Amino acid sequence: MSANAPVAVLPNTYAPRIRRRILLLFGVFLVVLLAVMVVMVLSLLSTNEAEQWQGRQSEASSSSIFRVESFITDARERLISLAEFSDVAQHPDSLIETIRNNPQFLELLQLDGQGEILDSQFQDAPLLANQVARPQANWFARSLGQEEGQIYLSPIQLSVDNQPYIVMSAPAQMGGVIGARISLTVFSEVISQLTFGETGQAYVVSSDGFVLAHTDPQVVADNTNITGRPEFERALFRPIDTSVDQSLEESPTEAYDNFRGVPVVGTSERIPGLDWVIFTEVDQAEVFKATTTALTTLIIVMIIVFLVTMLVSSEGQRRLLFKPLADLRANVDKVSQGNSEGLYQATSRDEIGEVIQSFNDMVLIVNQRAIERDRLIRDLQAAKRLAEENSRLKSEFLSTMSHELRTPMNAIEGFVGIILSRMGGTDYNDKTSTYLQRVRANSQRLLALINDFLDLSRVESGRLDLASQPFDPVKLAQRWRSELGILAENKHIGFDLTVDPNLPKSLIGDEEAISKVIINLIGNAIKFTEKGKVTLKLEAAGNDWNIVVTDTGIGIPPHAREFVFEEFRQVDQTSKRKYGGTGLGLAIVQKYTRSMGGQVTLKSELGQGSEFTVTLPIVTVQQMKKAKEA
Amino acid sequence: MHYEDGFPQALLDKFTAETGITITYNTFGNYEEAEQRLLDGEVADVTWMSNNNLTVLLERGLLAPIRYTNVPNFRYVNASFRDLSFDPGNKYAVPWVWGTTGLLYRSDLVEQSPVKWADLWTISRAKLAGVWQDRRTMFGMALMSLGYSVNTSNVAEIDEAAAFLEARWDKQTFVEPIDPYTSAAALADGTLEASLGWTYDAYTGRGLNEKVVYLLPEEGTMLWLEVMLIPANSPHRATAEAFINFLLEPENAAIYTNAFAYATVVDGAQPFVDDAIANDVTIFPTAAMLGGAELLQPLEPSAEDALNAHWERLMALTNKES
Repeated sequence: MSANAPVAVLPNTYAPRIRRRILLLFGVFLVVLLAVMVVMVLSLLSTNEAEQWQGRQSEASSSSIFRVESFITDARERLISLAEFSDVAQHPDSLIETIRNNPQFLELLQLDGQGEILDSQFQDAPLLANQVARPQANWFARSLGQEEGQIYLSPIQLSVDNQPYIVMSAPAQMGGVIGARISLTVFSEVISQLTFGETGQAYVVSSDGFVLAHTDPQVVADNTNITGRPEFERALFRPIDTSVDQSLEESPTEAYDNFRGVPVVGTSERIPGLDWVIFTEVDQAEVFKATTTALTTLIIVMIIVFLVTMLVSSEGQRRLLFKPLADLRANVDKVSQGNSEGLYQATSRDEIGEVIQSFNDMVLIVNQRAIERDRLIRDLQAAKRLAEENSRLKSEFLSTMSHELRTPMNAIEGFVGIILSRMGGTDYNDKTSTYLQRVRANSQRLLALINDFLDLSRVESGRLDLASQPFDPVKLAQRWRSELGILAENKHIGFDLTVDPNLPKSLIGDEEAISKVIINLIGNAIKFTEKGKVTLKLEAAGNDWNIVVTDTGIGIPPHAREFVFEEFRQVDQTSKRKYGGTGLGLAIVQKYTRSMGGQVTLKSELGQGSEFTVTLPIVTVQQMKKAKEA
Repeated sequence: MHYEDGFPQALLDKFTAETGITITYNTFGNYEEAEQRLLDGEVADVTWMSNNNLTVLLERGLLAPIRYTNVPNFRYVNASFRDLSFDPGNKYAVPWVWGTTGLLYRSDLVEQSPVKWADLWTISRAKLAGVWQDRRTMFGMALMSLGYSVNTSNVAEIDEAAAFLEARWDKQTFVEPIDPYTSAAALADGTLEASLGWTYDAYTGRGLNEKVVYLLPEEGTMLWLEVMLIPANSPHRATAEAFINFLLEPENAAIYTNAFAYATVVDGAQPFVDDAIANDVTIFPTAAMLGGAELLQPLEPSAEDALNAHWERLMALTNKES
């Protein structure tokens, strides 16, 4: 990689993972913390606010009760006072005076014990005076004969023009009943003057559930009845604690949906002695207005705090942690791409700064080592080239020299032969003949040695040209037997030949090269076998064929099996003297076999014999043709 | 469920036209039958009933309280019929029509015009009074004559009234028990010269013979009131309330009054009532005419028992005679 290669751009999906996780963790923590704060502040606020409202409601409630009570008490007292002065003869004007001075009295009647009218006055219409069955009217029947001071209050009634009224009656002292029709319009006005807050409202409910007075007069006009509503039932059955001054006791505040379906905070109190309940209610929206405002403000502030904190922490992390990490990574990438120029330097002396510095230091050391290594490689390559050249020169030299040596050796051999065949009719004495024999034997050995050298050097110098000719392996094997059988016969050992019938009749290869290998092996086998036999076996083995040469000779000791194929090696020096040979045979066998794409394996047992197997690929004529066509 | 004397089909049709709800109209022969049928579990949405027949129904919890939120027209109901002792606060019963009970006589035949209840037995030439087999009305006459309340709970007063009746028992004849009792025909053809009568008798009798006169005795009249109820087993309580509200509409109440000449309890109905009926003091008596008037109400159990015992005894006298 060249030093100018551009640094790869960092993939975005890679770097921010930890950052995102840290931010998420931090964010969740922050949200929980802020939420807890908001809840605490709100609960404090709302409790405080609710308490304030409870105070105001209680005050309004007490004030309402006071007004309702005084309204009723006033009416009751006037009625009782009328009852006391019920002697029409003595006080003929008592009814008319009362009704003139008290607009809430719509009608006043004084009845005798049979329900007959003694006196009656009215402001609008004589509804009670015109009653057709006064004795059966509750206001008469329930007051007649009752104790002094007892009053009867009728359920709320609506007149034809929707004006609410009640009938109040009391037993007259002189016998009979004083009855009054009392307008609740005035009563409603009392209630409607009660205001607190924007949505605060009060209403009075009779014990049978009818709304007697309401801040909104229409509620009364609609005959509204709240019987069965939970807040009403609770209020109705709450015991009145008479031992405590009611005005000092705060009535309990409840949150509920009122009969109009509006969520309110309300208090209720029973009006002592009347079994009426007065409700004061404020919309929950108003009660918790400040809390709601605070909630909105708090949420906005918290969101801002959250965002700012997250931004600051994100930026802090980027500067302190992720920017240096990204620099370090850029350095690593540069170095990976072979460019150790212009590395980012640590900008801080913190932990990551130290890591960057260490990395940069390491890169310097690695670079120095690389330079050293490159120099060594160059030296080694030069040495290798030199050695190869030397080896080639050696082989060439050997080859040339062998050639040069063979020519005179052939001459010597030839002439010694002529001499020994007594050409020219010359007689030699025995000594001369023996010496000539020795010259001949030695020259033959020398020639064999030279031939072996030549073969070996031919392989090593790469000048071995293998032929690709069809041959019959069986005929080849028979030729080997006929050529070498005489050697076996001379030593009185057997020579067997077996051929696998599956072996193709015709193979492609270099007949001479194979012969050189096998003749070497058979020669060795006969040479190292004193008794028994030598076996030559040809067999097919899948895509290969094996030529196996087995003997019953001395065998090869285990330590020697590793080097018998090396040049100039025999099992030991004694065998060289005893058996002769150049020590090149097996080296030639191996080199030739490998040149033909095969291999030689050896199995041997000391004193029992050896088995050499030459494995060669089967190349048939058909395969040859196909290969050519391809 | 309504009295079999009928209900104006026009009213039923009008309700159906306004609301799309069809009304099934059943009838009963008298209030006792209606009460018994409710006790037996008959299902109805609205039923009419005498104010007298509520005690057992209320005891058995067979009536549904009226939700007046659904009956805003109750504001038209005359103050006379509100919050009466048989149904405090009108919790279960909405008044419908009312009327009087008095004396009916032939002005051309009787020896003298009646003034008091007791005159019934004396004014006719045959000294024979037309009466009804109705225990409360009969005892009511006696109690009023003696100066007691018709709704008394004093057994001694009832005993006294029984003696009062027994003394006159042979001077009377029972008008055939047609429900509701009517003496109008007997008066018109002269079979009877003096008889018990009620608003409807007075109105129809006068139509048959102008010499038929109706009088509210000076002790006071006995008032009757018909109310509307919603049985507790009503499957359509809100519809029932809507129907009641519809009937209390002044214009609708007037349709009924125009058809049957019963006085409606609805105050605002007057402008819609035919002048002949509206101005008829027989139907709509003036306040002065109703002095001493009492509404028949359920009695206290002890008074009820005493009255029933006396009634059995008195009726045995009649059976012995016949």
